[in-house]
Amino acid sequence: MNYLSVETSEGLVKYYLAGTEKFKEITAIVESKYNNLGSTKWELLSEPTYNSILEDQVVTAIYKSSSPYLDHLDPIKVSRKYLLNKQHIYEKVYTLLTDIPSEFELPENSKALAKGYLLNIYGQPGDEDYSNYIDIYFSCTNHANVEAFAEKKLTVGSYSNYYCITFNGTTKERLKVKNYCFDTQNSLSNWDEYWTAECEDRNIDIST
Amino acid sequence: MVPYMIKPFTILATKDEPNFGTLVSYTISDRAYVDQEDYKGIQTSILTSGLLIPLGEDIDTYLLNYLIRSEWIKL
Repeated sequence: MNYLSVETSEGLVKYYLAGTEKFKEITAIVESKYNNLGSTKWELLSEPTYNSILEDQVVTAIYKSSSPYLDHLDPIKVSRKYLLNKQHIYEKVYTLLTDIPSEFELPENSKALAKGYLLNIYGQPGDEDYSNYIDIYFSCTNHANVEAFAEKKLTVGSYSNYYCITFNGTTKERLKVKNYCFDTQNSLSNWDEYWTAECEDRNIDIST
Repeated sequence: MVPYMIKPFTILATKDEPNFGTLVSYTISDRAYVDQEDYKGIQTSILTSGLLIPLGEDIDTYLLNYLIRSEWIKL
């Protein structure tokens, strides 16, 4: 399986790995909207999907490695959001979490893994400030707890499930729940292992 | 440039050159995954150089456009 499925309030979104036919098709769509793209740096690409926060059809490109100008933020991953109609671009930074942030409420039995937020990079078209939208990525040992939070049934991956809640950073209001479901083990399906490796890289003690 | 933007380059120093403009010393880095016969992994490239910004030009805008044209900055 060469894709990752994400269930959001706007529907099901698939992300495709570099080298696949779908990846090439989506790259062609983005290239038709922008010049001077660095598409060789993309590892994973989403289908164009309506994003209610960015209010546009959006393709997300997850990078193989992060740009040096973001090093001071210590990202574990970086992606770019390509807004296909507005033709704006925003960078998204994902940073490691080792504790549940006290200001954001997660379902019971959750373990926070990462935080994501949008940035404006000088030279990228689009100057709206979306930094107040905070994504918290997490695992949860009880799928029903997340469904209760989302107030709807969520697809259950037969191999693994991970989740994300988008919060308003000021009001702490929950805006969106995203469900990352995997039916088989693949290079994208073990977030806990990835999280552990990132902690070890940073000499963070996770034994407790 | 709005205050919350992050610059993908760093200006190291500026020097006024009367009648010509401003000489800017800058640095920019790029990181990419390379898959070559002798090396497979992350490669960081660093450019440190200087550029004369003509009189009347905005330094950030001129340097940004220069780095886009020279393909150090891509979308």
